[in-house]
Amino acid sequence: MATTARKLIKLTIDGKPAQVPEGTSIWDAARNIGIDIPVLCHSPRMRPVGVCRMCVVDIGLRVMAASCVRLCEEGMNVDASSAKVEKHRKMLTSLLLSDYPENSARESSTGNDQLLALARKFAIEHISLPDGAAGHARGSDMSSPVIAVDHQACILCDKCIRGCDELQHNNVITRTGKGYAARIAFDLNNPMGESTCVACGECMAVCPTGALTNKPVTSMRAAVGKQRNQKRGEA
Amino acid sequence: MKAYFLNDIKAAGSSAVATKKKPEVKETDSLCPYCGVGCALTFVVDQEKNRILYTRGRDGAPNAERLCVKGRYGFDYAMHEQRLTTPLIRKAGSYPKGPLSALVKESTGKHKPGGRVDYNEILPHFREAGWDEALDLAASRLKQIRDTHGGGALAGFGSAKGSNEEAYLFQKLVRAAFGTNNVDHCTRLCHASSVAALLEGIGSGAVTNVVRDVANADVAILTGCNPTENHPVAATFIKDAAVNGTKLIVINPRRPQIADFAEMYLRPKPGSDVALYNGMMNVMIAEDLIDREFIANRVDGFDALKKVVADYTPERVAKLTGLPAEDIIRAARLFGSAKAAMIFWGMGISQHTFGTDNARCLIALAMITGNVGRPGTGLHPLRGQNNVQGASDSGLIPMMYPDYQSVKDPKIQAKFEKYWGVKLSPEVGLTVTEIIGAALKGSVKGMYMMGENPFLSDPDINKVRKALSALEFLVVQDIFLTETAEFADVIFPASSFMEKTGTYTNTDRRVQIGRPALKMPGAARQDWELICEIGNRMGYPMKYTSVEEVFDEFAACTNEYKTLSYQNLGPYGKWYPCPDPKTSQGEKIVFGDTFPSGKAKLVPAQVTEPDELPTEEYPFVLNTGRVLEHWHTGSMTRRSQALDTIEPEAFVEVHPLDAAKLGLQEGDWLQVKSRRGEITLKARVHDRATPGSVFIPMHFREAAANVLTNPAIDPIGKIPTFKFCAVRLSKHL
Amino acid sequence: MKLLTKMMHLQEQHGAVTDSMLREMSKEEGVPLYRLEGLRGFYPVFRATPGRKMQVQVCRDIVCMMKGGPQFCSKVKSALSNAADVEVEEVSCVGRCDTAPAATINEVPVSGSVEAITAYATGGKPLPSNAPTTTPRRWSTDPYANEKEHYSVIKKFLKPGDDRQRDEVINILKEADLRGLGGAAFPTGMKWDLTRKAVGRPKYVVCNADESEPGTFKDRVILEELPHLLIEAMVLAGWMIGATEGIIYIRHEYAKEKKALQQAIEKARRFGALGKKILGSDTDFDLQIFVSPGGYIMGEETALLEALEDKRGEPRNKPPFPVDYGLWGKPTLMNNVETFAAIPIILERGAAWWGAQGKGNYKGLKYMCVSGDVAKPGVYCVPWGTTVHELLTLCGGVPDGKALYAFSPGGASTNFLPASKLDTALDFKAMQEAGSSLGTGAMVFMAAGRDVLELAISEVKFFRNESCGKCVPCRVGSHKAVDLVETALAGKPQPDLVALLQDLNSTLAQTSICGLGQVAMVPLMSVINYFPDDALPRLQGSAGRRK
Repeated sequence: MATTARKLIKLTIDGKPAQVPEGTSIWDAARNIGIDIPVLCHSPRMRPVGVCRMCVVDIGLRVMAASCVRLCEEGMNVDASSAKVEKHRKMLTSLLLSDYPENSARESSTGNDQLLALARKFAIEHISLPDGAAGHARGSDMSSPVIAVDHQACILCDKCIRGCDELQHNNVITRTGKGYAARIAFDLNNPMGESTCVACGECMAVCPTGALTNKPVTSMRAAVGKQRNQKRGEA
Repeated sequence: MKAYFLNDIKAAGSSAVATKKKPEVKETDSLCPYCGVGCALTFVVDQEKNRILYTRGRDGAPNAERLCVKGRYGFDYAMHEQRLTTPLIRKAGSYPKGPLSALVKESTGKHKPGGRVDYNEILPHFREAGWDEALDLAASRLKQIRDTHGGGALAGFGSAKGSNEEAYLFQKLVRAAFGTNNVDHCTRLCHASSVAALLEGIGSGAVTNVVRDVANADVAILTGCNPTENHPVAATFIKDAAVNGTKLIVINPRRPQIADFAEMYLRPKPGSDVALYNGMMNVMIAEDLIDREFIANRVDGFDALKKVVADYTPERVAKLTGLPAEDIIRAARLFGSAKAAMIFWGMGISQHTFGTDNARCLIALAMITGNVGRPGTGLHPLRGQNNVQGASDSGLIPMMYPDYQSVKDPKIQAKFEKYWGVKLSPEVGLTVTEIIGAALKGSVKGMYMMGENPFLSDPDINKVRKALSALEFLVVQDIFLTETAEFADVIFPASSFMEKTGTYTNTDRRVQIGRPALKMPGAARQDWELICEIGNRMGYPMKYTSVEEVFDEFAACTNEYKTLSYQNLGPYGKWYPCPDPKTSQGEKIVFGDTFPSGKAKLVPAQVTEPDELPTEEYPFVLNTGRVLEHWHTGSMTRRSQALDTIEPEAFVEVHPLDAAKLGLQEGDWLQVKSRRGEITLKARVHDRATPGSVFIPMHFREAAANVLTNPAIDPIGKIPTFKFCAVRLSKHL
Repeated sequence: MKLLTKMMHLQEQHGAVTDSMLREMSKEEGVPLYRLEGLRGFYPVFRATPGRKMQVQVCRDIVCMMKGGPQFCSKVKSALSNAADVEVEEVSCVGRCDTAPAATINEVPVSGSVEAITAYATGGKPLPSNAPTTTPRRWSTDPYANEKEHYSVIKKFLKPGDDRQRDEVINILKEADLRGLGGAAFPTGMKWDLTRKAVGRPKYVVCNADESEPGTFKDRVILEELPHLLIEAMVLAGWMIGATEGIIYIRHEYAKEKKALQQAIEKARRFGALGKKILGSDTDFDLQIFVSPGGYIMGEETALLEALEDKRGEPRNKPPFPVDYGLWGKPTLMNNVETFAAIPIILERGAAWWGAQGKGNYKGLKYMCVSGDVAKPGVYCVPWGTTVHELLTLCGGVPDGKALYAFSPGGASTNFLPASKLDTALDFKAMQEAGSSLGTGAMVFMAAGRDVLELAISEVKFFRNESCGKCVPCRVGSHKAVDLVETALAGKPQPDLVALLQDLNSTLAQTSICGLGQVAMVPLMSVINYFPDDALPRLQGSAGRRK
């Protein structure tokens, strides 16, 4: 298919010049010139939603702009990395950490918990905010045979929703509730294992935290040199 | 107030991960072993324990990091403790051969789910042996049969799950060492009729446009397929397209979930496909929704087609298909007025005694509207197995050498005789379905089966049982004991997908490399090496130092693969044809200018009746197929903890109206009987079924659908009519 | 609108939207289950299982707190705890601050003491009528002496094919300097012009009648008593931008006002002011009312659009703005009730006349809703530029001879100001210079003796309660802010609390997606800044802690 050439836009990000086609987001433009703005809810595979606000940048307006959804404009001057911006990112990280469980299933299994990675990046050692994780109040759901749901670790980034609905089109996951009590839900707020989930694992794969992780899949050992019979519901 | 084990992190920006006892992991880029989408993934392996911990989707051309439940969670079968680890030789006392397990002996009766062959019942009949003894025994017996009765008394079933290299070596072995063209694989049960029609019509059986090209289609027909269950990741891209404006026309007597995204869903009477497509073409021709220029320049036989379809008026077709005439007209208009339209199809088209006719109709639909060779157009028979395309390309079929070069052509025969340094047979070999018949008759006496389980996958199991028992010698090479292995004389423990290097060609013609993530258990060996061992011991030298060497030899004798090499395939592979691997990914879309056969040839079809129509005694139509979580005969997936947990048992799906008439409720036991046998299984009541028709998945040995199915085949494709036979239902008390 | 309307109908008929109803609806409408759960779980009017026969909803926000006294909601709950068939719930501001303490019983607004509400709820007292007034008052922004004159402005401007008329209207609006009166103060003439020029079809006109900010009830009065002005302005808007469809999004708590509006719409149709070829012109335009399934956030313009699109009412990222990308992604002209209602008289009598209505250099007339510690709470239409003091006098001053201590001039999102600022003119710029904002024109007066810190916190709690939950700073931040302050008030303030609150406020203000998060902590910060003696001792934990 022929692509009509889009107008090129010039802007500055952290003092560096950038030139991008019209319709490019600030986040993409920054990445193109080697500036990796931290994100939690954004992935280039999905439609950006700008809910975690980690990617905010200062473009000289009354409020900061979420760079994953904000498009570049001619002559824009973007501050993506100053102390001012980083202060907000630290506060956002601390807000999420204050509700985070002590143990992240993602960190302990695949080691790539993105919230904890940000905590390390910003060297956050103490969180002065009230602890919202006491008693694991938000609960967990172990009904799926393959995916463990830990609502306490959920940061409502919407990635699982977009993965399930917009990538796989299995259309199972939604947010339900409102405000601080909002959480993800499957079908009509059914346990995941009783929903129309087909266990494709996309939600788990895109989840940045310990909210959706693989249950340990196999307990069968590779019996090298041995053969044993499995008596399991034989006729 | 709270700190998260950050105290061992010294500096900001440190990437050190605070872990306690996470294992050392190695990541291997490879592929999913299951379906024809060929998703690229990464296995993350605990090397010390030789276990795959989890998979991660890679950004491969077919899948863009997406996976389905099987690719994501179905890998643990390879690490199951029932993996075969030593060669087995049948004990003298276990002759004459026959089925060994209760289930395989007697298929009727109510059975609890039992996904795995009971090793307790089988193993006592075999003794463990060393490789030399087993290989020598196999080779000598096969050689003996060849020398006594001729090459035609031998046959080989290769595997569509094996790599291109394995397929190439296997057919080379059968042709060069056995001296026969009796080599085939499960494509015979799958797209054989589609391929026959395509070879006849345009000279190539491969897809013309890749799945993801559907994004460029205004309209896409999805007929006789259920992609959300059988090509799940491909279905996500079809759903993407639908959400973005592509209008889907879904045609299937049993409503597939993708119909939720369809502009039109048509539910024709089972077996009435030819009438429907002829009817659509009737309307399109009448309303001039055809591409005259394309027909003039690139198509032969339009006038004959026009004459035939003239009889298929909407009114007549409405009677034949049970569809309202206005739906037929609307579908025709939708397809005919599209600027770019694509046709996907599956087993619902091919697995009939008129499967070739069905495919001929689809080809005609595309040709008369000029819907080939451009973005968003084309013919796409969705390939089931991960390497069924590659296995066919490698010549694992009785009528062609690699790259579809005919065995009947003396020039081609000479070429391969030179290439392989041996005399070859000029006679077209027997297909899978014909071999079973020949074994029963006694004209095929010895077989080598690699990664195939015809006992469960072929139609009319009771007949297969007799045929396998009748063989003088059977070598089975597999990773688990299958039902077929019960009839073996020698069993070779082989390598799983996760333990080998090889190339695999997916439904898109994408050639990708799979790499080993695990070490083989016990004394199991690489399939490709075992094939060579047999060849060598039968007196035909087959010596290669690496799998890559095999690929190069295979590629060199083809047109489509000859530009490819392991080096240029890299981690993400290429489409073939790939004229310049240095600069291009290969051709996503082919036949923009001309077809391999020059012009396309239209072959009109007349609607025919299915071989075994419902009668008063057998009033229901039986439809068979797959479910999302399981693969074919279940030897892999029923040994996967996740997959087996989600879907552990057999079922027969009945429409609510029929259920009501039978006084049937969800979960009741039902006896299903055909002229060939009977099985007992639980009922599921769902309105996706067609009234008057039932659906049984093929995976469950304790209630094997193929006990019931009809072995009648399509005369050209030789594919059995898995989608249509007559059965009777009765409540099992 | 289709799904939500269906769900609201089910809720009304059955008292709940159950799982089996949603399963059936999912099949009928061809939408996946999760979508319906997302709606049911988000909007306050929906319940999954039916509740009791009498649903008592007691307002928990600032003016009702002031008027009802300490623990008012809990007192109502305990008084009715043994009543059969009665369920008591705390809710956010119901828009009846002039008759605080307010509650609703099965959607019928009531007012009064714990005893009065108990009597209503248990059937001891019959519920008051919920029918709209049959004797609306005369208001100064109504150019019409009687019903027969209604819609004359339409007749004046809707001449066939003449685009210069449209130019003229824009010029008049710009000259009159009319600004959005729902709180954003965006110049109305400019908005009408931009939407007229925006590219995309079809276009829509939407009236934001979802006023829900504590202390705000001016639109309520206009809806009940001046609906014809709203209707006329929306017809003009449709004609201006080329839209044939208009929607009035009204909060469900305004059932009485909705009836008045519905009656006026039907009258307008009969009169020919709505429908095809309006009053002899070639303009087609008609209106429908959409009742909100609840929640303050629905007053945020893009959240409102999301609801109309049958989604959860979560604000969109802006830009793009509704002018270019509104309902279904098409250009949408959205204005507040009061803004629309001002337009007929401005066009009738001209910008100069409008300008002359204000005090001094200020232009026009403003509807102020006054409540709190004031003798005559209610809605007052006053000239722009009137001082706060003058307004207070107009409302009968602070009762019981008390002095005024503080006031909140523009709704829950505006800074509290001390009495020393009483001479500030009611004007956007003037109020900004005084250190606050005119916002929605919701004036709450607080007498000496009021605990302004507690009142400010009730506003923060309001925002926390009404947060949609979409973005991190607002969802988590507002919750933590309340938590921190409540812990402090219980006697255990953490060290550096004020600095922490300032940082938290800064992040909410700078990074929240929408206005709710951006202002959630504002009242609290204003008390810390302008009333340090009230705030700091309790928040800093130094000597002299007040209980």
